Amino acid sequence: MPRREKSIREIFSNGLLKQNPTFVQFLGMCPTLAVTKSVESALGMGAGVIFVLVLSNIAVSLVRNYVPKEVRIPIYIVIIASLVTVLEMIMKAFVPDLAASLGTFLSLIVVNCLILGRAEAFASKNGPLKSAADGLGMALGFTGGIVLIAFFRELLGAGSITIWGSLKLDLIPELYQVNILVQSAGAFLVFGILVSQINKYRMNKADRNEEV
Amino acid sequence: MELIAIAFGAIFVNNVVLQQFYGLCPFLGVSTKKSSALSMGMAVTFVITLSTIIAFLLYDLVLVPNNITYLSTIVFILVIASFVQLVEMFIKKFSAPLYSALGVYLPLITTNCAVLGVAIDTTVNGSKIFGVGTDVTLIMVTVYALGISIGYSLVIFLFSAIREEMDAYPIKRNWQGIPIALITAFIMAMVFYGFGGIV
Repeated sequence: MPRREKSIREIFSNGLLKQNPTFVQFLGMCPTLAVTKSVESALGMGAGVIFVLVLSNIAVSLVRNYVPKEVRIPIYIVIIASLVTVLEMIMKAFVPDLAASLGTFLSLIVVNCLILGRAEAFASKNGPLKSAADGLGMALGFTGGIVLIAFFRELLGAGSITIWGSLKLDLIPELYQVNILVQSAGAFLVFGILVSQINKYRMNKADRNEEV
Repeated sequence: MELIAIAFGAIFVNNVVLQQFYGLCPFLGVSTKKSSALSMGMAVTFVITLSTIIAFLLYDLVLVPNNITYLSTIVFILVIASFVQLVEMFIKKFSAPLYSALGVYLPLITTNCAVLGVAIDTTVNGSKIFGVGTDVTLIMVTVYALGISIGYSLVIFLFSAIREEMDAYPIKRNWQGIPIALITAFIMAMVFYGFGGIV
């Protein structure tokens, strides 16, 4: 039986859940841990990655037939770096506070392995529409992952959920906050626990499928 | 004295992996064996130190005078990528044992965000590291980059030693691999907080 072509919807949901970049593939771990101190900066990072990944996937897929195989990686890096520079300028102009809180990690989207990985593994072999769907699915999966980590870190560590600027919910009084979670070390702890629980769920599901 | 403080801060207090979260992919990926962690540390030390010096000179002598600092991200990544390529070609030609030890790790370093991160931190965000208003000199940048790479090598080596020991113990299957490694890194980061009191 020939393998069926994947539909756009399947490609999209593949990145969102089944091949989630944060919890299943472990791509782009530096920003995953560094910008999850608050939900706000995680959302900002997610928006940046959505912008760069969708556009870079489209651009790479448009030039895929003209790029010589030997120099493809440098060309992809230049495409991604130009998009990141555009993003840096936009963010510094319109949301300077957010740009400052992301700091160096805004520029480091260039070396986020998720973006180069999708360019190489998907966009260089598929058309622009499918590549856009793949980029959007992967980037949303990444955003969901880091927002989930940030949710637990900020809620338990600082007692609040900051969505945007002053749009902030204070939920836990200071006495019950676990301060270590919003410091650097806490990122490792929260991420490790979440990964182990998601692994448990996935393994149990795989076991059940085998029994049937 | 000032240089010693910069070096100490870069190695322990602001450790590149545990505090700044740079270069985590190789930190978790290559740290399963002590020997490969050591080779990775050497390759990273070499590349970070030299590429930071190049990036600093480029920034100070070319980007700032021409007022094109907004291009620094794209310039730095191109410089780093071509520098890594050059180093690889160079040691392949001149030192076979060195190439067999470091060869596979060099291409990985291009996408190690520690390299680009340190290059950007010492130039564009220089005031954050060396204090606002400080006249940043090449020697300070070199010491900082060297300190960062020593900190990276130290932590990745310690981490691989712990992981080698851990192989001997039974671990629940949903904690195997990445999750238990992250918890180990959590404990190491807590230990490194202790150095914060010294400076």
